[in-house]
Amino acid sequence: MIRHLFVLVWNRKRTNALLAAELFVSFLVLFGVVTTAVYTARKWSLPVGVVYRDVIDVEIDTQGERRKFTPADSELFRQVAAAARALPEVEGVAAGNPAPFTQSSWRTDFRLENGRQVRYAAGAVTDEWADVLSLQVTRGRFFSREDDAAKGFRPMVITEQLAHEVFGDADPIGKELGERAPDGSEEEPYKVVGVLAAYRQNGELDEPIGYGLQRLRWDGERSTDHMLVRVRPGTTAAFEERLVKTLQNVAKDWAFRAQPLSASREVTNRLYVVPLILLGGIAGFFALMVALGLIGVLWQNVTQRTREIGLRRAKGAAAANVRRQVIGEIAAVTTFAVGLGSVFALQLPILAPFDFVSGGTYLVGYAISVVLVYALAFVCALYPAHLATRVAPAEALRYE
Amino acid sequence: MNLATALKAQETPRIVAAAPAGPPAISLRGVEKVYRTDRIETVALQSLNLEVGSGEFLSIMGPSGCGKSTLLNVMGLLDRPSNGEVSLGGRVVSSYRDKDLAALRNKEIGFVFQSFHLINDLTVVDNVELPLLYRTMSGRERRRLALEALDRVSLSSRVHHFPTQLSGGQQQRVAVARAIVGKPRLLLADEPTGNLDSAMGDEIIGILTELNERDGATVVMVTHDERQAAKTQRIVRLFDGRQVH
Repeated sequence: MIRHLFVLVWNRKRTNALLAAELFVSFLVLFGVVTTAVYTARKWSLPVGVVYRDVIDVEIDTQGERRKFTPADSELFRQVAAAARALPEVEGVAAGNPAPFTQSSWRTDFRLENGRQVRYAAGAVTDEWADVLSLQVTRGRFFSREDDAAKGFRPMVITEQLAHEVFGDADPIGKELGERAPDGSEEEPYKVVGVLAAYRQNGELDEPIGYGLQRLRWDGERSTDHMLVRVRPGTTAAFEERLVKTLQNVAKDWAFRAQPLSASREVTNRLYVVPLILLGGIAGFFALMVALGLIGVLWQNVTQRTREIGLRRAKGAAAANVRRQVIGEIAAVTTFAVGLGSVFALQLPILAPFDFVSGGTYLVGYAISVVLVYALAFVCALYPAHLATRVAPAEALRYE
Repeated sequence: MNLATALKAQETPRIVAAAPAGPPAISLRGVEKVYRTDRIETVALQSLNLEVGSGEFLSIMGPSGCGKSTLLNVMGLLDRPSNGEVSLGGRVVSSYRDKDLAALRNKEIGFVFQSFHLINDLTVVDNVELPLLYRTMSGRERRRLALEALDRVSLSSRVHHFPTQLSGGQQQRVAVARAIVGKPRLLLADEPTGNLDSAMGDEIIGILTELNERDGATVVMVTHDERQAAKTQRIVRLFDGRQVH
C-alpha cells in the first residue's frame, strides 16, 4: 500500500507540485521558528549564576566621558560606596562594568595554539561582586586583597564554560588566558585565579557564551559607571529614593539612578521575548494560511477524484481505507517536501553558520519541525478525508 | 391482460433450471429502491425477486432509466435496497456493516464498467493490482496475480503502459483483468461493450463467456445490445423498475 501511495503521488507530480511546494516552504519556516524556540528554551534552562533579587543597580553619571578616573574621582567613588555601605538596609556594595541586565556587553576573542578561535564575554568588577551577586565559585577563589600583590600577571575569574573551551578537562587555575603578542610587547597576561559555575550577565535569555571577569580596584584609575548594592530582604522600593539622595549628597556633581536588578531583568527579557512572540505570531499566521490552503486543495482533490473513490469502494475499500488513502497521499507528498527541505535544513548543523547554536539544537529543531509538518498535513487532511468517506460508491461511479 | 397484471405475473422469482444445487450466487427478495429528495420520490426498483444461480451467465436488459444499473449496484452491494433482502451465496447481507460489505465486494464480486474506470495515473499492472491492495498479501504475490490476470486477457505486453496509451478494447480488457484478479465468484458488468465497437465488444463478451464456462464464474451483465445478450444463458428484462420477462 505504501508503494502504491508513493507511485500514485509521483505519477501525479504535476498536480501535487503545488502541495509539495507549500509544505516545503512550511517546513523551512517551521524549522527556523522551532529551532529558534529550541535555542531559546535551552538558554532558559541553563543556569544563570547570578542571584538578582534584593540587588539594586545604581547607574552613575560622572558628568563627562571618563575612560580613566583621576585620583580625586577614585576617592570620591570610594566615598560614594562607603556612604551606601553605611546605610542599615545595605548588606554589600560592589562596582563593575557591564552590570547585569544592562544589555551592554563586551566581547573579545583570541586564538588557541591549535588555531581555534575562542570568543567570550568580559567584564571588570571589584572583589565584592561575587558576594553581592551570590556567584558560586567552583574552583580557586574570587578576587581578593591577595591580588593586590600580583606581579607579572593580571588575575582573572572565568566561567566553567570558558574554562572547558580553553583548557578542556585540565585544571585552569594558575594558567594564562589569551594569546601573547609575538614581540612580547603586550600588557601583563591574564592568569586564572578562580572559576565560576556560571555567569550570564543578561540573564536567562542571554547568549550562553563563556565569561571572563577582570579585577577592578576601588583605588584604580579604571572608571566604572555601575555600582551594585545588595539590600536586606524585605527592603521596600522607597529605599531606592533614599539611597540616591544619600549618594547625591556625597557626590553633588554626579547623577545617580537606582533600579532593582529584578526590574532590569524584566525589561531585558522583554527585549528578547517580544521579537520571539512576533516571530511566533507571524509563523502561526503563516501556518494557518498554509492549513487553509491545504484543506482547500485537498477538498478540491477529493471532489475531482469522486469517481476514483467510487471505484476503490467498489473494489473493496471500506470507508476507513478511503480515509487512509487521502491521508496517506498527503503524508507521501509531505515526505517528498520534507525530504527536499531536509537537504537545506541539515546543512546548518554541518556548516554551523552561528557558532552560538549547537548542532544538537538544530537536530532537535529539525525533529520537531518534521513532526509538526506531518501533523499539519494530517490535520488538514482529516476533513477532506472525512468527506471522501461520505461518498456513496454507486453515486460516485456515475459522477461526472 | 393489462400491463399491471402482466407485471404482477412476472414478480414470481425465476429459478434457473440449469443452476447447480446449493445456494444461488445472489438472491433478491422483495427488493425496492426509492431515491428521495425534498420534493421528489423516484422509485428505481420495486418488488423485485430474482435469483442468479451459481455459474449462470445472465443479461439484464431494458430501456434507459428502467433501473438496470440500480439493480446491478444493489446486487454488487454498492447500494442498499430501501426494502427487501439481498443474499450472497446464501447469506443475507442487506444489514451488513459498511466494512463487511466492502470485504465481500473485495473477495466475492468483480465489477466491469462501461467507461472502464481505470486510474489514468497508474500503469496497467498497478490498475489491475488495485483490488488486492485491500487484502493482506505481499507485494510480490499481488504482482504475480496481476500479471496472471493480464495474461488471461492477453495483455501481458502492455503491463507498464498507462491506460491512455491503450485502445478502448484494451482498456476494457484491463478492467476485466482487474475484475478477475481477486478470483471473485460473481462478475457484474455494467454495459461492458457500450463504449466499444462490435468487434471489440465481441472480444470482451468472449472473455466473459470464457470466464463463465472455464472458471465457473457467475456473470451478470447489463446491456442494451440484443446481439450480445443473446449469447448469455438468460435475459432478465426490466421496465420501470420491475422485472417484466
